[in-house]
Amino acid sequence: MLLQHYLILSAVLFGIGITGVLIRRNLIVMFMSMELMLNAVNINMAAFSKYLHAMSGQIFIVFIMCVAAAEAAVGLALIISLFRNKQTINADEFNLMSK
Amino acid sequence: MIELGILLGPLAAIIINAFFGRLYLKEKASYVSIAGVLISLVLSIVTFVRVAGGYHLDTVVYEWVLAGNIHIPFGILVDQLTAIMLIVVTFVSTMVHIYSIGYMHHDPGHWRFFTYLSIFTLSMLVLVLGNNFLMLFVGWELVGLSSYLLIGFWFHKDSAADASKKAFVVNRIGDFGFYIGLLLVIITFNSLNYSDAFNIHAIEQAKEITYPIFGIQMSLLDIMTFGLFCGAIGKSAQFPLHVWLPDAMEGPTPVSALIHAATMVTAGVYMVARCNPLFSQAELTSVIVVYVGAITAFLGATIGLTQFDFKRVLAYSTISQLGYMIMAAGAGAYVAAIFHLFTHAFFKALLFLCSGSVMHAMQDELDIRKMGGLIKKMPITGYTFLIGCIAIAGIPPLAGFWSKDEILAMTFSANYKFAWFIGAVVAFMTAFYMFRLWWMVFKGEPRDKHLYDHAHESPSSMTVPLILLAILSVVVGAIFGYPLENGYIHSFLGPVLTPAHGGGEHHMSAALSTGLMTLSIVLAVAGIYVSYLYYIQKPELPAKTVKAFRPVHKFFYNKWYFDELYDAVIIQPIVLISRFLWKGFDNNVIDFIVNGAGWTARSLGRFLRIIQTGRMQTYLFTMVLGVVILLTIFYMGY
Repeated sequence: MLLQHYLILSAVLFGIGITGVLIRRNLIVMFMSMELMLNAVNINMAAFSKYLHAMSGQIFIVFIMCVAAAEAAVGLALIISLFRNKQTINADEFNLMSK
Repeated sequence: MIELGILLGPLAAIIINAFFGRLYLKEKASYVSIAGVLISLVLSIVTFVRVAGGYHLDTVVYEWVLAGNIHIPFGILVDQLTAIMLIVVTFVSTMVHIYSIGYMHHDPGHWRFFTYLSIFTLSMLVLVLGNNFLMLFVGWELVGLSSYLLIGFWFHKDSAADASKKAFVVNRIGDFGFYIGLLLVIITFNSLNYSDAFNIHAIEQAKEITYPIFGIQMSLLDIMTFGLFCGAIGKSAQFPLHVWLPDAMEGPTPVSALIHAATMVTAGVYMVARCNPLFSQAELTSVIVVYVGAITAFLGATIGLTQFDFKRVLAYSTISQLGYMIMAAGAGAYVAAIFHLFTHAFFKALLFLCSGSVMHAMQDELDIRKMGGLIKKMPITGYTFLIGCIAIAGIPPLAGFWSKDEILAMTFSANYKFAWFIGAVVAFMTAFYMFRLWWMVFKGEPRDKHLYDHAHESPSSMTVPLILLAILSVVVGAIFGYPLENGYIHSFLGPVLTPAHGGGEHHMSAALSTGLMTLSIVLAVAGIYVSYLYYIQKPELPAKTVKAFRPVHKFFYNKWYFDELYDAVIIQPIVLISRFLWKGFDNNVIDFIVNGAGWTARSLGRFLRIIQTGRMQTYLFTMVLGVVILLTIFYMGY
């Protein structure tokens, strides 16, 4: 497979992710879409790492995965506490900042 | 490498107690700690015997700090000095541990107490066993920490919490000097190992380099040793940093015994003795050391004469005895200093444990004016205390006589006549105030009927250590110190502590030596007799004397007004400056800047909040749009 294939896959995933974040209102789904975007980046990293014979890309993937894991822990905890407060996870309901 | 086991014993006890003490071991925590310290004791005795047979060890367990060309190992040094210190530390520690079973029986913090005791022992062992200055420093600081924890053991009492803070802070002041000394050692010798630092050529070189300080040309060596000695001033409670030691009485009594006898305060003396190649070459520092020691001895003794608190009298006697040791070390009589440390450890531990036993019996009463006649109620405590008193007063053949006489003789022959004179006066005072305690507490008529009726002898876990310590207080001096100035201790410690100049090499004529010895015995007996006169035969005499010397008595009774002096000169100005910085600077200047920044941001925000819709998607969309625009610009080439 060529580098392009990977890049196209990654671009498609990223597009799906960003669309999901923008159009969905469910916080969990938005969150999952965000993870999708991160993983699209990871695929890019891996592809270029192979292509350029440079290990740094793969090392960076590990970092991104760590960040993603930490983010999942924090993000889910935040969502739970939001749900406890409002009994909903609809993003539109959380507009306290505008007041 | 069984020496490593000496450290591992208490360390294992700490770990076990710290993890399982509170929930599982509880009252049994004491046995774990005692097992740990017993391992150390046995191994120390083995080490001592091996060292006496010519064994010597200077080894690296592992490389600890590697910084550039400076290598600092975690190394163990076992020589004669270490062996003696190991015996002192582990034996007294063991006695204190056993005694604490009875003493701390009802305390809810039982396991915590024993964990701290083990930490204390371990710290002191690290200090003693290290083969470089950094390990000495680590042990030094650990000892400071554990004393803080133990003095403040009853932290719910304000006085105890304050005392622990005082001890810690005062020690920090001395440690600052110590730290400077250490840095100078690194700079000068390019290493922190004893073996590298105690190199006669390097020392000679350091002596040549001089810096002008306050208009005086001081050699690098003098500055270095003075810095190190500052640490000893703090840790060994020397004038002018002695103020923490009497307050340290707020801790449980076994802790006082440990601090005063085996760990903590002896660290300073040990350090000076260990660094004897440096100190013996630094003439200026040596003089300072001698006179700091002499002043401390005098100061401690004079205050001790007037106090009514049982433990405080003992505390001031410790200060006074430490003054002796430091004085001897300064005069080049390192063997005498360590010998006094050795004998002092046994009888001072004994005296403190006795005081704890009395406290136990008298419902924590410490005022000796309320005691009296206790010998009938608690004979074991009483007679062991008497042995301790005789030992510290310096009556032959008990332990204190040999070492104290030697210090006086050495100071005299090293030509510090004035220091010797102070030392002799102090010897008289020591005998007086120690027997003052004995007469007032154990002899005479009970002064407080209620307390007397409830007094009782302590349990055997407390009296057995007393008896063991008393036996050693009797014999240890004669075993190691006979014949005078040429005893076993001299041939034992000689190889490590032979001073390059000064007292040790002076050999006095037999007549002079005998004369000095007789004088010190006469002084001790006179002190005892005078106290007998004052407190048993003519009980009205003390009040009369106080009346006759009212200003002097007041001065001594108020501890030379040191606390008041420090309060006025150091604490109050700092409080004033802090108050100014708080009210004047922080509240007006800093807060103005911070509030100003907040106010500016809020004013700007008033405009920006218009585009703030509160919907997440709007923000995200804006962000993505921004990125797309930026990327477009980037690829279009601006």
